[in-house]
Amino acid sequence: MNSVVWQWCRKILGSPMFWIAGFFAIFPFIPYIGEFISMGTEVLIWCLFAMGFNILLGYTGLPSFGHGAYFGIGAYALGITFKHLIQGVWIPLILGVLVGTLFTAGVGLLIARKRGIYFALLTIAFSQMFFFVAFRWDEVTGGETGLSGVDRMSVGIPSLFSIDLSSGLNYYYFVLAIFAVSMLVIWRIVHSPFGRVLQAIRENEVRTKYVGYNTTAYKWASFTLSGLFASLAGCLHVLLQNAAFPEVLEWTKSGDVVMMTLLGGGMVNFYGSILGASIFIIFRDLLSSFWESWLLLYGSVFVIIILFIPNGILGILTQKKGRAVLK
Amino acid sequence: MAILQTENLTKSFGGLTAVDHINLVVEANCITSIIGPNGAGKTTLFNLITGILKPDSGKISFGGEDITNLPIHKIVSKGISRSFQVLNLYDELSVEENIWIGIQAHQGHGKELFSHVNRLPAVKERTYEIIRVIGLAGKENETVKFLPYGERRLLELALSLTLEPSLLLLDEPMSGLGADERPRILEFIRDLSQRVSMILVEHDMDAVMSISERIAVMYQGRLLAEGTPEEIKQNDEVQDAYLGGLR
Repeated sequence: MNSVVWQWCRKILGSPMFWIAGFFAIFPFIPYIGEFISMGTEVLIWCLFAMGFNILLGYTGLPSFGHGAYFGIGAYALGITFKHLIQGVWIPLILGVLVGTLFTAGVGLLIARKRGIYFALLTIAFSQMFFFVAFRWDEVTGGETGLSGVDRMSVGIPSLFSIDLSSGLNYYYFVLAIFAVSMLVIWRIVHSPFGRVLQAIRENEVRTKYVGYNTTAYKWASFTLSGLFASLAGCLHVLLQNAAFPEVLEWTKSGDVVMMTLLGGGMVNFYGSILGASIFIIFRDLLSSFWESWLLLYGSVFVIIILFIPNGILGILTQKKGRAVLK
Repeated sequence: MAILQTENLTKSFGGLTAVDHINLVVEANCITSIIGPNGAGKTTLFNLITGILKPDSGKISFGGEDITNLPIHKIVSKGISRSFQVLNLYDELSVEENIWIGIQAHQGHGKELFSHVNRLPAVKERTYEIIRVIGLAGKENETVKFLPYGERRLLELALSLTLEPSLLLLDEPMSGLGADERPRILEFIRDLSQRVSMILVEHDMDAVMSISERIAVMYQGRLLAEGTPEEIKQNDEVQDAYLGGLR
């Protein structure tokens, strides 16, 4: 009995997931940096986005340069639900994720057969299309000015307890809980037999067809799953900002998530996307407060990474040269 | 009994008819070899049977069932597997991971999203069994691209076998091998033919003549002759077109 408990403890303590969630749990209480609750929340949201995106990029090997679209669609779907249908937290959130996922699934049906450059181009084309719709359709999306006044309300069980999410700290922990659960779910997905098929497709799609897998269906599922987490992240982002702006749909957002994944080493390590997203957001906030032309430095860093350390930071740290299966 | 049959199977690329009204009958439980000079249409025929190319006209039936125009994975699930002339493996993955993906497919685990790969003992057991059979025990964790060519050839065969097919299409399984490595593969194929029907494309005439029960000769997209190895050796047309003095 004791040994079973001991084994579980060892397993939990041995998992980086525990330490990542633990770090974020004490983050608000760390002196000096703990004050930046809003930035911390944004880091978590982007980590969630990047982790989900990595199912597609790192594990399936499909380069999407348009995933900002599903982040944005989730965001707008939540905002529109909140403004026009029903106020609250859960229903707009669930509807936001649902709509974002449905859009991803629909686009996925059209592009899952494509590969390489055609796949990448189509993802960009669709994201631009959604951006212009959000930008122009004033009556629904608020056009250029976006949707504002998406307030964070309370969650809880009536007459038992209630947590007011309008407090920055409470919202941080709300996002952390969703992040932690999602991390666990995504970890399970990529380490499942299904995840193995995705990696097989990345390594050799033709052979994977010849061992009997309908690779198109798997690519579609991977695309849709990553879209689900993208729209979840988008929803949380709207609630953080209390508003949805067309910028969330812009192609630069799609580029950011690719860069985060590559920077941290998402191509070779499950935790790469989390590391990449954290570094990206923290340095963006730091740099942009010191120097207007910070994007110049960012662009250069990106070029250097692609050229010299394609496996990202964790790729260097773990010395994984050419080992493809992600552990 | 015929396991595979093609009727007037035709495929053109632009002006070139690579496969021209082929009527081929492949008997079950034996090795049928397809021979012919380069460009005769052998690999195109394989690609048509396995579904990566769609025929312009004609019909393919497998075990009495029409499989023309089915997608690859459906054809595979009916029991047709193939190996490739140019090695087509998961180069970056280990030997174990290569075989694993095939076994996992055969045992039908691909759609499980939340079970852990480490908790599939049946898949693991079968994977190690196959690795032992092809003589790569002890090399389970080696990355495939670093294996010697001969062992990768074996792995190419083994990966096709993970699906326990009833018909196996081997596209030049000995291509690129040295004379010293050929017997190992040939022996392996011979053993295999006890259990699986096979279609073999191979240029090594000694091997083909010794191992095949039936031989079909293709020339410029057409089926020139078909028969036992002896009949093919005696066929004048074949002699002129291809064999050139083997008699």
